[in-house]
Amino acid sequence: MTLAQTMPLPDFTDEALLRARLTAYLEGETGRSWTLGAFKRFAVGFSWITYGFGAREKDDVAERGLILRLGPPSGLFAPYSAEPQFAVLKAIEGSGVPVPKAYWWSDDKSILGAPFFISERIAGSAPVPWVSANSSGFEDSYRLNIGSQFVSALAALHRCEWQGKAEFQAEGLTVKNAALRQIEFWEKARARWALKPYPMLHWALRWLREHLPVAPRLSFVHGDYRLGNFLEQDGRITAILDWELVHLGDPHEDLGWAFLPQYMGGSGLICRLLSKEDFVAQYEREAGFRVQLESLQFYLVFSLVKLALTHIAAVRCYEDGHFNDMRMPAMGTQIAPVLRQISKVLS
Amino acid sequence: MNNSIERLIDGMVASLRQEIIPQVCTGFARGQAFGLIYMLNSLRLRAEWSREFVLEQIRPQVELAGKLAPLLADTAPALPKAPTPELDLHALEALRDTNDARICSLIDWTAAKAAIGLSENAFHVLCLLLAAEDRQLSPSDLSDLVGTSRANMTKIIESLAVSGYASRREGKHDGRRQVIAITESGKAATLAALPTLSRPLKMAFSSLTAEEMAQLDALLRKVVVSFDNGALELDATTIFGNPAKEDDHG
Repeated sequence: MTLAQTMPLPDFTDEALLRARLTAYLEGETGRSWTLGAFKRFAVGFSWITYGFGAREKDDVAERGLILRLGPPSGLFAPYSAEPQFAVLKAIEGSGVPVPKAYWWSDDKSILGAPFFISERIAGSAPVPWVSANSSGFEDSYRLNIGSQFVSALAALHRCEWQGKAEFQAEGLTVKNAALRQIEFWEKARARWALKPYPMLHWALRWLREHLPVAPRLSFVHGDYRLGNFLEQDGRITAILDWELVHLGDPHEDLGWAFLPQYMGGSGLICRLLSKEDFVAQYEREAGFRVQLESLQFYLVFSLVKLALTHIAAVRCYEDGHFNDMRMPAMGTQIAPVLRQISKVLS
Repeated sequence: MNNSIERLIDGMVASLRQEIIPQVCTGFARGQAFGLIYMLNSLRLRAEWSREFVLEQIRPQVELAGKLAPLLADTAPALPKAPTPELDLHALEALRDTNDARICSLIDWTAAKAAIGLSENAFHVLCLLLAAEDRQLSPSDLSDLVGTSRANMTKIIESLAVSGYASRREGKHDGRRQVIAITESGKAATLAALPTLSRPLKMAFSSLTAEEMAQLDALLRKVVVSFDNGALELDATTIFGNPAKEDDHG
């Protein structure tokens, strides 16, 4: 009798069943017995489901903290594969980008009902202060310190060597077509998600096609690099999180996303941390290339398009009844403001 | 709103039942939450989005149509339409979405125009050059084939040259004659514009069956052959008059 035949697949909320199946998986992988503690579901993200749990392998003295991430079939970007996240986390271990150690992954849905990976649980919390307009919500010394680490981690990611590694095939990707590839990806997403036409989005996608930049290099692109997607403890960034959109592309893409006004909280600072000038100056020093203003402008528009599409996806997933997460229709109310912002930037 | 009111209320109720109430500790607070569920379900039976709210979205679409109408040629895609008083909420929502789709088509159409930078005649010239042997034709041939005066063709060629889409060259067999050749960027711009322009053409012929299309194709081929045979005896002046005195390029 195989595991799949003896236990029903979990619905991602049945923690007892999930724990039982995961224990069986870990024992199969390691050949040793495991004891898993209680699961704690983290209320983050709209896509991958995240659980934290304690685990003790046979003969372990202390329990260790692990994170399980599952890509459910109803998620925003489904169908998922855990492989790209796992491969990138492995590739950048020790590179200067603080990331959790990745241990196991599988896209075999017969194990937990969805693609998943398991990584180390890192101490820290995501600093997202609740602030009024015109204030970053951080003490200056804190924000300058964290801001500098935030830039260093991004520059380190963009310097990482991926060439020659079997897991990363560029498949015809070049510095010339990197921007176009991303536009094509998000245009397909629009076709899949949009319940109605959006002329401003249509216009913006056309504008992007007419202003394609050439990338200074092909690098890992995080895809969601911003405030809220890193952990901090005692003044140190302990982990960069949420790698589900990671891909190879133009490093300016991560800058465009991090520079979105949505993450400034009215402070005028990039992710409420650094001025644009300080961010770019440090990034250029550490990444080793000059930031092109035209590329930055292109990827700012691109990021607004991507943000609008993410909101449109939330509306669609909610309307289709896959989720009852009330944050999703709330995201839908942000479609019009983002489209107005695109209009402002383009005009 | 982007979500339907029915789905919003269903989701609110489910969220209260599955996510919120199980976490609520006091009996009174749970009672409040159940009251909310009851009222939400009652609202669901009676509520719908405001008609006025959808009309607010249609108003700028109609204003846009009013501004564009005097500027556009007959060949432009259809403009957004105004609502009629009898339309119910669902019909208004459908009209709003159709109007948005029409605005998207107008954006594509305008971009295709901009891609070739000029008029339909300029686009026609680029298509002719792209299809011609050696990708080049004389100004007088172009004038005849497009059916415009030689003076106008001179202007078209000039602007295509400024845009970098066409260049003037000496004739292969006669150095005294000038020919117009399409450039690589002219070729790229023409090919980029074609898919957009082909959409209205496809729509125009969409009511014909496959059999009728085949018939039309056969008839048009016959006409083209007739023109080719007659070309020896005809020149364009027979059809379009004689604007040769305006021709700078002969």
